[in-house]
Amino acid sequence: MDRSEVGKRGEDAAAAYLERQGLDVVERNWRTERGEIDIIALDGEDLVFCEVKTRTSASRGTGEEAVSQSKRRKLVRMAEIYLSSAGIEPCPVRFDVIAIHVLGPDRALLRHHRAAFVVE
Amino acid sequence: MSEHRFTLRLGDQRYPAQLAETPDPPRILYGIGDPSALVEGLGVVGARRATPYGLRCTRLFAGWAAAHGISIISGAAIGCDREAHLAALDAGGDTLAVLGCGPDIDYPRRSASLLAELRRCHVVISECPFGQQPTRWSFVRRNRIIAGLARAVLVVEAGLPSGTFSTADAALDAGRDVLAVPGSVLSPESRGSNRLIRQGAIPITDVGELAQYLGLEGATPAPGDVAADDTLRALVADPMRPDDLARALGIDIVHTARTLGALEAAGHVVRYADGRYGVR
Amino acid sequence: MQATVATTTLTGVEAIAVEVQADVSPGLPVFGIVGLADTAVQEARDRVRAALRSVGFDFPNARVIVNLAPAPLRKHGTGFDLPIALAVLAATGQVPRAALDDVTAVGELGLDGSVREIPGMLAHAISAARADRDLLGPFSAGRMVGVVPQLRYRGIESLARMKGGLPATASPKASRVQTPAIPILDVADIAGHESAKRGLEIAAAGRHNLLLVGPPGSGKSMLARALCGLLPPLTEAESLESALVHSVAGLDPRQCLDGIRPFRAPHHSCSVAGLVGGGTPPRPGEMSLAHNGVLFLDELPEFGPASLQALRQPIEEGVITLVRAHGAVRYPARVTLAAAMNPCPCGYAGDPQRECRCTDGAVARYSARVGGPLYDRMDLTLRIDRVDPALIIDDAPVTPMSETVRSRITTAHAFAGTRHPCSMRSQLQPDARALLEDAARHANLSGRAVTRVVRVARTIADLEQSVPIVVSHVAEALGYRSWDTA
Repeated sequence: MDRSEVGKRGEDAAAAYLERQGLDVVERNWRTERGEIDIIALDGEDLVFCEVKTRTSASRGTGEEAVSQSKRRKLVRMAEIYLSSAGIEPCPVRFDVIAIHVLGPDRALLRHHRAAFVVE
Repeated sequence: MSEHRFTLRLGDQRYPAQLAETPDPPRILYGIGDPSALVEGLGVVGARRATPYGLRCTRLFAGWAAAHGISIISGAAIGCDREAHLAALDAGGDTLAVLGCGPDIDYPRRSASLLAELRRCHVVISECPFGQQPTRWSFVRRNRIIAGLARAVLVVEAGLPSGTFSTADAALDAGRDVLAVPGSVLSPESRGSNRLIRQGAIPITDVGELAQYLGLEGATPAPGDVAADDTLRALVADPMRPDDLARALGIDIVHTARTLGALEAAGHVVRYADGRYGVR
Repeated sequence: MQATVATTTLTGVEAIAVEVQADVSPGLPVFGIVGLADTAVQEARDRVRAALRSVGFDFPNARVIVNLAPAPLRKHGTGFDLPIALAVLAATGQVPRAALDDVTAVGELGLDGSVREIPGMLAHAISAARADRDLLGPFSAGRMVGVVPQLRYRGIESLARMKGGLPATASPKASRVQTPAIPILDVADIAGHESAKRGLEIAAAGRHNLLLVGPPGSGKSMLARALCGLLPPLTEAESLESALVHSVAGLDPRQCLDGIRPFRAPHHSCSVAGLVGGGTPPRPGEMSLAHNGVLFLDELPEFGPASLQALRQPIEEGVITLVRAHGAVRYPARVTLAAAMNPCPCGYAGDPQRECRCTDGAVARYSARVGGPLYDRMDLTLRIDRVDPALIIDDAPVTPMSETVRSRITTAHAFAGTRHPCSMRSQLQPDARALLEDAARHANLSGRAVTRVVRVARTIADLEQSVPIVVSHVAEALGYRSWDTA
């Protein structure tokens, strides 16, 4: 399984998890020329922008650690673009991070950080 | 007003005879003032960092001798030297200074006004030419001139080791008597003068003894300035701090302080830099 | 959704009113603080967020902008934590907005929601009392701010306490100790030093600055401490002033509130800012901490020339003005200066036991470091010498008990306040004037030295409750004059 495949399966798992939690996933891999947002979901009134990080080993750090300052800024910028696109009402906005640690071929640990960060 | 400068060569008529007799007389003397004032006198030397005791003894003996026509010879240094010159001037007597630099140089600086007065009314000499700055060596050399000009050298206060000793040695070399004022056996500033006495210097313990040595008459053993006041009597014996005085006299400190203040204002006592009061 | 909470921020010893306005609106989750806030205030964001969450409040998932008004005033310190948290709570409806209308809030938040004390609680309390507003702050400060008259204080240990609405006002009883404070050092315990002790009495009665000159180990610091003990306890107004400076500096003001006069003895390596105040934000220096008390400067000539220079103006004016880009800050600094120095660099000039090895030039340079203008401000100079050990062992009780001395001082001070304030020279009796003229001639006194002698004589007369200055007063005052102008 190559890296992109691992990432894809991680995002699938995260989306399934969010659905189970009662959120409505509205976008998967929403793309602009600047990059992409893994998952955009609605949690009641709140609009949730979710970044998924999947790791097969801890040797390169945990998934959460991979969401660096610059990565956050990038996410915020893309969220701004999404919000300014037509048809979005002003609403509370949240940035979540889902970290998945793959333990075996069919076993993984998932951690959901609600409101993991705010705009600085 | 111009100073009167002069030079005297060994052999000149006005060259001081008593100096010419010494084993190592200076070949040329440079001077400012009145060369005829180069008469035989009493050398008075002592510590530069003099205690109030040393200063009082200097004033007592130098002042008395000057008042009785004896010229006071000293080195214009700070401390005892300066006090000796001032006491002679205050007594209206003669005094001359021998310097370790050119006679026109104000050294030490603090004696500048004293030296100016001596150059104007008395005489300042040196074996160093005009304009020469002082060297360490020149002061040791000048001590032999003080000794040579004097008939005797009075050491008022000297610690150990002391430059005053070289003057005493020079006096002995020149065949002059050494007189010394004894001090407290406890005082480090008097250790040198006490040792001189043990080595044979003539002890001078009051004005009478000095008078006797100089062959002068009419001196009463003690100066008649003792006031009836207890405070003054206590301070004549020894300068004291107000605390010690209050204890000695058994009076309270406020009363003591007020008495001292009144006596000082009247000019009977002076306050020393170390806080003690002494009779003026 | 907006809410406003009142708070105050320190400028010198004053607490200036500041409004904390919070605006919570939907949008990207931002927590921003605007309004000339320094780093410590910016860091409030993390503390407020953590504190709200840990006590069970919600931090809004929205755009939160906090504005500190007036905007031109520079804000610093951690005291904004509590009002910012309250403004956010009120804006999100978690705390009723009306409850905060008459409240001024100050306090730092811990991550666990605890409310902590900040420097200057007294200043905040005085400001709140003056504005007739309730002060909401840390519970632990309650006893201390209780001394502020007419203050309604609401203390909370934790932000969680706000869930039950505002806490009740407490009017803590004044915590001032009514029994007279024990002096740091009692003159009656000092053996010997009779004239120095009398000098201290005069200095204490007339609040004269004094210089103690003596060899090392002769007891100069001990006597300076005793001077502090001779001054009567702080009056209520004075103790509040002094406590205020301590509070603003972040020091414990309780001693001042108990009426104990401050005694500060900064080391000579102290910086200029440490001595007279400075820094950003400006902090009071040692001189202000000694306000209404004694500032003791041991080894005076060892202080830097800049420090000595900086002392002069506050000694004269009793107040220190620190000018900053954003305006001037004033700290009170009415001190009795007690300075000490050795008579020479080695310290042993005039010592009966040890020989001084300093050259005359060195002694002159040492003394000249202090500078004439500063010497001029010291009315009394006391020569201190080592006391004979035998005397320390069996000191006869020559000193009046310190209580007697203290009551004399208090009486003299009161007398000085009531006597006719005509010029000192006209109170000088003719024979006293004659004595002074004689002394000036014999001891070669400068004009300034004469002025100081008259000042000291005036206080000696006050000690005897005498309006005229008579001969004995001047005679005694002569003994306390300095040596350099003699």
